Amino acid sequence: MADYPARNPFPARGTSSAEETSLPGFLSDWARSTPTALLPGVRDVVRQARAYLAAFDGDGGLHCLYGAHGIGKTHAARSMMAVVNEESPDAVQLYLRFQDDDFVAAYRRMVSQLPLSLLVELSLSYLDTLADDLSGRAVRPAAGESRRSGPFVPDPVESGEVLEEQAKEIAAVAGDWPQFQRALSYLTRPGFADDAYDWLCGRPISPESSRALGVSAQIDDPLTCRYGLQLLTRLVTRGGRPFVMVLDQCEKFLLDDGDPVPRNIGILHGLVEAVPRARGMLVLVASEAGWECMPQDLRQRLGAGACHMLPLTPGEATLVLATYINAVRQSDGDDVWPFTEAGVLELLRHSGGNVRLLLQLAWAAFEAAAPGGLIDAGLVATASARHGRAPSFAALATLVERELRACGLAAERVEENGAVTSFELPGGSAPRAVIRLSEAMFFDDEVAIADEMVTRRSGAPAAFTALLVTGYVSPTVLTVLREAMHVVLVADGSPGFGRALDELVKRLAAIPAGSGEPLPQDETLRELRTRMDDLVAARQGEVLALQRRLDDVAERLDRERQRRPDWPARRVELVERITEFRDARAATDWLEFSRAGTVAARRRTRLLSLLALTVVAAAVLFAAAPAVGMLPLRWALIVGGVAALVAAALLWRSPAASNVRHAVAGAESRRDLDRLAREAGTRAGPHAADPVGRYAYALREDPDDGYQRLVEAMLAEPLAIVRQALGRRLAVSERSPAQCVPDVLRGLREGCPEMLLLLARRQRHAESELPPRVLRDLPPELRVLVALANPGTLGLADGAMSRQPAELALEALGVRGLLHPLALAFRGGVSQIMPIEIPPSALRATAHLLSPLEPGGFGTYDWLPLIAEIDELFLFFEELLYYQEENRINRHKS
Amino acid sequence: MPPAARYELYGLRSGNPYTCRPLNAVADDADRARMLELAGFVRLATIKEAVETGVSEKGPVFFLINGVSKSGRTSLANHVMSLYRHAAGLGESFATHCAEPEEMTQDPYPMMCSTLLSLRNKMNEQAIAIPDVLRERFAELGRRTHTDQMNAYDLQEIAGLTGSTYAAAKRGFGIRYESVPTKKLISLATKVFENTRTVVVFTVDDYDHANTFRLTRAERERLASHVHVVDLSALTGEQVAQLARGRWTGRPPSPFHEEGVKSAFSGRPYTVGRAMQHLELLLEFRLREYDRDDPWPTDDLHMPESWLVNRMYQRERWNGLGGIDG
Repeated sequence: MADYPARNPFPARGTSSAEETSLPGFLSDWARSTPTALLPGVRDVVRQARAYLAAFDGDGGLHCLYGAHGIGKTHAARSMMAVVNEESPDAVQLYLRFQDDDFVAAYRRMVSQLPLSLLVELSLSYLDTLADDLSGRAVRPAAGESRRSGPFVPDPVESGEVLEEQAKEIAAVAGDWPQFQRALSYLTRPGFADDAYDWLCGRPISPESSRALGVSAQIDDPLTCRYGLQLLTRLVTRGGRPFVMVLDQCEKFLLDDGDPVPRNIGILHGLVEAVPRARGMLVLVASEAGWECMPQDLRQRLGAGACHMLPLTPGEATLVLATYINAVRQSDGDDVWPFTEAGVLELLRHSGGNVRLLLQLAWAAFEAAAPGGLIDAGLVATASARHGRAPSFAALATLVERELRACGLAAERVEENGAVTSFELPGGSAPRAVIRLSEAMFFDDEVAIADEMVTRRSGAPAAFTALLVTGYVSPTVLTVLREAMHVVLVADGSPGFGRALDELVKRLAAIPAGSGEPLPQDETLRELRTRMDDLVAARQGEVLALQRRLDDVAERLDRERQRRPDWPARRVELVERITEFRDARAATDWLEFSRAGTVAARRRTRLLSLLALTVVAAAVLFAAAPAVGMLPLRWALIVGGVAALVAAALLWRSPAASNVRHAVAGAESRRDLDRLAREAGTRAGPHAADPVGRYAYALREDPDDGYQRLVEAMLAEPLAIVRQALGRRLAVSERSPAQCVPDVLRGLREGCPEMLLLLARRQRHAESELPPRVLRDLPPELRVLVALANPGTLGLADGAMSRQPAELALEALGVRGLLHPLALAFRGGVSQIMPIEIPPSALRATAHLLSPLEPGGFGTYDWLPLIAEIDELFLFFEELLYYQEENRINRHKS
Repeated sequence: MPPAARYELYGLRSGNPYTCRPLNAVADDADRARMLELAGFVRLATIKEAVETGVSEKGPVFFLINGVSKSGRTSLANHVMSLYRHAAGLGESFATHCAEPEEMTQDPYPMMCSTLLSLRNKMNEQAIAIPDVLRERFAELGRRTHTDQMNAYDLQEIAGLTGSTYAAAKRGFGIRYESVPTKKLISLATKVFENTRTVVVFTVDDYDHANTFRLTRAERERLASHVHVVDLSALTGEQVAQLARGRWTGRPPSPFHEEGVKSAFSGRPYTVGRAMQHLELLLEFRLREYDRDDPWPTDDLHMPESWLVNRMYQRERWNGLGGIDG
């Protein structure tokens, strides 16, 4: 069970504030401090922004978010800006919240967001781009690289030609182009920059300045403002930076007190055409009313880029709550605990699926909850009574009755199960109007309820049917119900509902008693019924799919969170594990060695005692000899004593004995061992029983004259530490790695990987000129070592391509060319090239080959001089795997 | 970097003669001879005549030189001023005021004030006694704010007085406005200096953008009565060949093959500055490829047609400029 949130995770006001600023710092701060649930609207706009950034050289982008107030539009736009900021830090983004229908004021606020220095920089890079385009140079020289090198200086393009080209392009986006071009050119002249900037920002400038710059006194008409924005778009995108412009609360701009403002609609239309054409991205954010008042052609232009943000479904509400709760929880969990499921549905009913209300109510409910206590339906209802606005079922009945009475309509109450479920206005044969009341509809049962409503509709041929739902009905069902009923209202307590109820009652009052409106034909109703049935089926499938999708999202969110130890952290973790494993291996080797030393010492002790025994026996025999009177017996004793002495001498001289003669069990550490080995003197020998003697031999044997002896000793050597010492001794041999290849292969065959020390050496220069065939014929995994040992002459490791895991390692090392994407990534960092299409299984196999953690991996050969490089390579493949996994998650997410 | 080219092999004592720079005939008499007519590129005789007529009428001489970058506008402007100085019989006592492109704005009035005040400073420098009335007018001019501008005819009076003060001291002055961004400056300057003995040369960027202008035909006709408009066009191959020969200062003959230059430079138009840059490099390349010590004339220092055409082709290819004009 996840821990209880330490503080109230919800924002009290539930609003997403957005500063009008282009500073990237604000955006990243916002993204850090504000959790964002990946609702469809958010995903949609983020996907569009990503598409825009990815295809930046192609078209611009156009997107429109619309929906009711508090549905999360600004939040969606904001998180899109944060994503753009993160993925393309040099993007220029403008955010504007319209306050009224004054476009000039809006323009001034918007352009002022860009600092003078940025505009100057943009203006200069625009000219650079133009000059490069003109001279046909595809690549600009990097900063610091001199443009003048050698006699072949590319002809510079005359600045006049560049300005001419700029004039053409500016004229294409701005009608008043000479003024704008002058303003841009004076931006870069120190004495006039401030005036030019002020003018571009729509501020008034002095008459002198305006005459000097050759521009008007101030930008003060909407058309020039529109040109200004279009020019700005062109300026940014031609300078090679993405441009995103978010216009929030468009309804305030398009509507003046509810009436459309045709001039502003025209301006917006112009921007919608021009900004994407200038390769910028325009995001419009509007309320339902704003969307409604956009002309048809404008809406068509927006087309697929328009995203209608709908009230939350129960699954989405759960996701929103989980996102906020998880943001303050220590441990992970994908549930909404401490909210109960009923609590969530109650929240949804009271909020009408509106994110802002939902968050406000969640905040209130959390405040009201006992510390550490569950938040259930009852608690939510109590909290909502104080904070919420949606009337309860009983309150709704009272409200409707009061409204009907106020209009003098006598309505009959129909009660079911002790609650009022509908009001009927009596007519002739059938009621002339029915107002049905329904509880908030949710998910599984809402289709059933809707079905029942439609059924009743056909059963009761009332002239007019209205349906009032408390709090919430999901968007899809709402459309169906609207077709079946004359009027469907959602009682969410908003002023809009109050007005609609008023209108409904007036309309009822206007229906004449008697015949009334033409009865809907049974045919029609039957048809609707069938459609409803279809919808029920479709709806059920949809519900399942949606549930699954949301589960998916939640799960992925969760996984992502679990991964949150991002790569640097993961790397540290890996490095720690590598060190741990390595220490363990060193300890094992040492233990093995010292144990062998002890055994040898014990054997020495046994030998010495045996010798002492023999000598004592001989002495006893000699001593006993004079005492024995019998001459033959005395001789026998003397001969026996001599024999014992001879036996002792033979024992002392025997090869087995000579091996253990000097064994000492004194080495306590490696340093100690080195000292002992140096003092070993004659005890050093390839076959000494004492490992110290063999170790001393390894240090002492001539690696060239005694090469073969060393090899044999190594193959026969049981102790890893001695083998490593032998290997290190061999590695200083005059023989080149190529000449040693047969021994290396033999060593590998006979389970003596230390022989690799012979291969993991730099090939001498003379041989790197003519790469020895024998190196190139090595198995690919050994060629990885060759490449690592010879970073300057990678050609040595070049051999036939293979499909083995080592191939990827070779590519990363640059053996297949330094421009191979893997090689670039290895040198320049993985983030340089994300889209490497390598199956994860191949990456995993390569990482396994190099692994210091799994037995047999190259990384476990701790004694190789190249071990640090091998670790780097291993970590590189781990990093690739890590990012590939993350990419996969992101792909699913968006 | 290879060692420096051995220009002395060609008998060139002061290095490459095709180094591109604006000629300044006012400051350096040798530059006067370097201004070449180039088979109709500029008509020096006509210009000289126009200057002399102006001088003899004791009035102003206005020139407007229209051309793209590196088309020789500044060189010609300086040449016109030096012709004026010569025709008016003024030697070292000739002052010039040059307004550079960076000083230009769209507002001609401050430009004109600066010009007049700068002339006053030059009079002070040259120790020309300024009459009190003129000194007062200058003071007033410096005091006036932008909102409180002097009338063009006030300025004309100051200019006239300035001119006569200079003339009384047996001196003269010339004015050069570089890259004039607006026609308003032309009309104001012609008005202000209408009664002054001076030469005023405007150069205009022959491009189509917001910080320059192009004269319409009607305007040209209207201007023609008092302003001499000179258009500097690009050179033909023939003219480049003449340029190569005319600017050769080494041991004769010119090492450029005459017909070769013609055909090498006929591919696309070259402004005179560009042509000079190309000639400069061609000469340098030829020298660098030459590893013997025999001085010009020898066969190996000669630049035959095939070599020239080849080099120019290589250079164009190298710059990736081939497709721009096509």
